[in-house]
Amino acid sequence: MDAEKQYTVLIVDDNPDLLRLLSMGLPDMGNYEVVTAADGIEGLTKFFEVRPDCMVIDVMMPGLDGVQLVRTLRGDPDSAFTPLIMLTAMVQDKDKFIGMAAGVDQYLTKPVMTSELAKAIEYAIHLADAEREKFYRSLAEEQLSDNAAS
Amino acid sequence: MIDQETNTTETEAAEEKLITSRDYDLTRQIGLLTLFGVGAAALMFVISIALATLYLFGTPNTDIVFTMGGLALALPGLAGLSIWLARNRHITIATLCLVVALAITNFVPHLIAIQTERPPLEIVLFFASYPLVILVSGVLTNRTMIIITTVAVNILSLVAITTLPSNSIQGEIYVAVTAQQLLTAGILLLFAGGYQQTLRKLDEAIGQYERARQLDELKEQFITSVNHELRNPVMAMLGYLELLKLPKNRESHDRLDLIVGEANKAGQNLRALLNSILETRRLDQGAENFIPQMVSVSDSVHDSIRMIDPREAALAGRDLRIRVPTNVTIWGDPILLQQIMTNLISNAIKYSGTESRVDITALQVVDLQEAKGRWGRKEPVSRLMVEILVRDYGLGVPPEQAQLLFQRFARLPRDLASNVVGNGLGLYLCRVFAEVMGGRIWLESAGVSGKGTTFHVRLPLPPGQEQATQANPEPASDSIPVTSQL
Repeated sequence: MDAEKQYTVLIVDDNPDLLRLLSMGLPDMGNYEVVTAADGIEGLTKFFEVRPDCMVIDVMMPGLDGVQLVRTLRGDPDSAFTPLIMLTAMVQDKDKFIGMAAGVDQYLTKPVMTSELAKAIEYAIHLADAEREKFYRSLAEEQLSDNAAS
Repeated sequence: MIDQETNTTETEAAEEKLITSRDYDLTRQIGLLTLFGVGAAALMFVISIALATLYLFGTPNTDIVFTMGGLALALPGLAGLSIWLARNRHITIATLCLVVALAITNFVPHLIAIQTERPPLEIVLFFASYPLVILVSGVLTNRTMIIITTVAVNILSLVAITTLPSNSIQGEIYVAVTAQQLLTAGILLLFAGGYQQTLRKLDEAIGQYERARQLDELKEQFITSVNHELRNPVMAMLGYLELLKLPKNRESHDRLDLIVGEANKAGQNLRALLNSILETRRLDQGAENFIPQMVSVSDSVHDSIRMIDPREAALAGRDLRIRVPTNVTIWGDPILLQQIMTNLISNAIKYSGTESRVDITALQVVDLQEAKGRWGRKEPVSRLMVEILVRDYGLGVPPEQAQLLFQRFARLPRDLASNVVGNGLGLYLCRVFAEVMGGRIWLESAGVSGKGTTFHVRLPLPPGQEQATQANPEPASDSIPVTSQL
């Protein structure tokens, strides 16, 4: 993760107080620019507008909920590699399992300190960078071997 | 979501399994009748055929053979009928059929045996078999049937005795036979009584179990709800405090004020949430147990807007016109008022389009009520009250359905079919809370889409303010007032 680069984080949560807090607080914790969305549909729309480096998604939302949003994002190759962090007030193990099964990189239970969230975002982005590098490297190697064969 | 689905399935399964003592008894009776019916049919058939054969090859008597042959067909038929009736839940008639069939099975061969001068032992055996009929009746039904069966069987025995040759000791036989039947009946009556008692206890136990299960479910829901609801405001409050730890946030006074203000708001939200959760638990029970105090309507309106569950009503981006002077206060309970307002505003948002606005107004009005004055005559009583109006510009309420809404669990058919979330309790509770505080609530609607609905809540002023002479004029309304106060 580049120390000078500014990272865009899209936060999707139906609680306006939390959106306000994180809009104010995350930039204090690191080089983050915060974009917010109040529900799943708006989250999808904003994703394609803004192309964030990381997304923080709440589970319980009206309309398209967090888990469905994650599945939608993972299902589209355009968005499938975006780091996703699930943030939720649901504490039971089975909710955690459902969240992880949907394909999030990290699952955090509220209340989460902004500094903790910032660390999680940093880790997720870093991991995604490494994954992307690995992916493109293997893609490049495949092409090299194809070229060699033909 | 998954959680709720599982809960519903479990509840449904539990409800299916839940039976009353009546169901249990019915199942038992149907089972027994089927068993007895099949057994009796077989028995009757065998006895009748056996006796027919006996008389055919013994002392040929065509009358008897035909009678027994006929019975061999008719009696199992009756038993079969009894089983069919039992399966269709006509227990009493089914038992009657079976009992009649059994009685005839015993009585007719009995008469024949006496007529054809069979050995006394055989005749005695027939007498001894009558109590079995009482037994079957007793096991299957209730005390009335036992008595009826005993009387019927006794009559049959009497008839049989009268056909005995006149040199036999008819009187003593009758006494002995009757004594045996009465004893059987007596024991069965005792058991029947005990059984009914057991069924009552079963019902009690089922009732208690059901109540305990519901309580358990409520507790689970409560704990999950509290656990879940509190996490957002706690995160907000701690989040802002964490920001304060950073020196740069303490350098500028403006920044400091902003953050402290937000932290405080989050704390207030938490407090309101706590109060609201605990109040919801009480529902309408014990709503009267409050200590009246001065409540600022403006504060209440703003608190209640904060309390609206975003999952139920999308507050974001909605145009709320609030015209509530800050000095308007009522005499009541802040939590009850806040709940009323949360319900009304939440409904206004839920049941109207996202582009339309919601008007919230509060003003003083002169309230005219009819009360029994001196000499029992109805006299108009006027006093100053606070009226709060919540107006939406949605679909409106059909005038003939307006009364419905304030009832428990009532939702308009139109809304049930829509995908708006609601449990039908909101307006009912609003009415209870308003009345408990000495006020009332009603709605005004033309039932026309676009004109919407206006909810009026009238509540008393603090003591000492009710006598003021000036009252603000009511705002002009362009909908037809349809419902009067409840």
